[in-house]
Amino acid sequence: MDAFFVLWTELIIRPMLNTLMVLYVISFNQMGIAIILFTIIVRGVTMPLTLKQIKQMRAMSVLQPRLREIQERYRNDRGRISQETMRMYREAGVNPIGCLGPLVVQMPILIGLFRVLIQTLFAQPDDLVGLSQKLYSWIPLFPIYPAVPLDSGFLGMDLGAPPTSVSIVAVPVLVFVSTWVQQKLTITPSTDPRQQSNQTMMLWMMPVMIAFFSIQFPVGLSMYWIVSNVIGVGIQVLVTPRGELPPLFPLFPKPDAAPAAAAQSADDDPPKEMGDHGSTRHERPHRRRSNRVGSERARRRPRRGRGRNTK
Amino acid sequence: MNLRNIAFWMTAVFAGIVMAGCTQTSLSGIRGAYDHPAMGDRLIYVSGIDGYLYAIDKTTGLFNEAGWRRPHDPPEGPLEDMPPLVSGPAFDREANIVVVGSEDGRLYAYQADTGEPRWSFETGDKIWSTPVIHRGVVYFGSHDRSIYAVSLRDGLLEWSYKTGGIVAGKPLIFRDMVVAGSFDKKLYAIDADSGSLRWELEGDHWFWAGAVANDRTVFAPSMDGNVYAVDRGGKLLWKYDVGAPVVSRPSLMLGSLVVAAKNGRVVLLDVSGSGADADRLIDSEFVGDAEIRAPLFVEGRTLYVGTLESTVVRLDLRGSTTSRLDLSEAWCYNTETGAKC
Repeated sequence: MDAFFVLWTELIIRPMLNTLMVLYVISFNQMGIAIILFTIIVRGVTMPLTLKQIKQMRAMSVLQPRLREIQERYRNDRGRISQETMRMYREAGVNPIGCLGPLVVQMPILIGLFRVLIQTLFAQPDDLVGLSQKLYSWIPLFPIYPAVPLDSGFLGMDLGAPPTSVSIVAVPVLVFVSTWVQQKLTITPSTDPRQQSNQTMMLWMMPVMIAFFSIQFPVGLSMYWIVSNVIGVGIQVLVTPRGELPPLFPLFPKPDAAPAAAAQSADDDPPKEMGDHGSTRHERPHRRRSNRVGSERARRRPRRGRGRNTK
Repeated sequence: MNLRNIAFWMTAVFAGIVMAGCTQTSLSGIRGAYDHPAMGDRLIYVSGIDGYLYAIDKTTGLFNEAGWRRPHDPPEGPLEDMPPLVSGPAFDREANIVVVGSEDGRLYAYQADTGEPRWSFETGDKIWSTPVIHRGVVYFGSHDRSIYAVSLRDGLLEWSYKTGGIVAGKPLIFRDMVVAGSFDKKLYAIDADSGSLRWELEGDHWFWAGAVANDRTVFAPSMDGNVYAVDRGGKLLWKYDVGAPVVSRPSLMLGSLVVAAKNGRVVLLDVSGSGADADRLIDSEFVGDAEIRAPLFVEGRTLYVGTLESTVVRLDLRGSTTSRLDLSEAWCYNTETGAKC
């Protein structure tokens, strides 16, 4: 446990704390700007993971009709469903848990940032003693030692404390909206009505929960979350070909809408070419042709499987 | 038990729970203190973690009969919302005034016997520094990075000196200088009359714990784990690494320097002569595993140490000559359980 604590402190807390303090000094003692810069750096470092996630999600989305086909075909053989599903993912080059990468990275950053904000935007001498032990002594250019205590004020808010007065409404609302939009754009439309209903529930429940948490946690943490979501949405919009972004409205999509859209998308975009964001209209005929090959392959594969089963 | 003993016990108990966390309720109401009480003739003045300045009757231990409590009216909301008083009080018998710094950035002066407000002086940020009164002037530091000199009589500014970091420790009056450490890693000596800089010394970390001095030398511990010995001209005479950051204000004990490091190690150093830095250690003792952040309290050959585990430890100094001195634990008292450790 001690080893974990040391690792946590040395690998997460201290680098984050010192980075945040350097950014604070660079940004003329504006903690709000330091947090925005910090978020941009974090999103920049995790950009490859984010791009991979977007790619994987689009690929998953395109595979939904085939997935439904497999589920219908082997509805009485769950083992076979998972076997065929995995084979389909493998052939399409999709890792179903690959989209979790950025989330996995975000969690320690969020928890770490929570600890760091509490320690840097201290209120009591005890917090300051803890902070003193975590400063790097080898940062020569940026005077982080005299920068203490950090000014936690930003736009009339105390970034080290839970929201109050106007921010008690504004912060949760911004957290909710940014989380909802981010989720809406990244969610993989499912063909399964049950799954789709779960997705709709998650689409609303997650932002509500996080908005609720934002009332309890320091505003600085919510600020990180909001900025991170905004950057995430920006990346999503930039890398997704025009017309392929999931629509934000209607707020509650009808059960048929997503499968239809997914089916349409599958018709246009084969799994093999999912990472091809730079394709032009001239490539369309070729893509359609290869899609037919893909569909043919998809039609054949279950038949072979059925044949083996009947032997 | 005479009055002096009662006063001493109060001091020891309060010091014992210094910085031991704000949620403790071992002493009803006050919940502990960050710095030593100030001793008056009839009253003891204590800056409570609960945000009040208490004037406690020495004989009864109560503040609501012969003593008083300020501010009268706590801010709206539960009592826990009151910011703690980190600054300790300073009492001046001649002027009959007690002063204390506050989290709201003001230095408050009260009539010592009645608690009537006399004046207040506003700085730019919180005040954690315990003020020092010398020849009718109050010296203290603020989070606004300045060292202030304010008239005790009317609270008017005499001078202020801007440092590069916050000044959280108690200033030291050394000859005609005010010596105070800053979070810019420097120790400053300011002319007490004019407010001009005499000298400064740079360490490797914050100077948080206040300094102490004998006739010739200032001893200033730093968060870098060193104790710096500086002469009146600002020349570094020697430094000794105690092995851990020092938050606790040191003390002099029969001519030797006693320093408590944050890791619970109490070190006795020989400050005489010009021996090698490494040879200055006379003795050291670990006070359990608890951290020490409270200022040390020395009376004669006895040292009282408050720890972060709510204990007060008494260490006795034995031996006669410097080379044969040693510290040994006499007893340990747990202020939470009310029993020996």
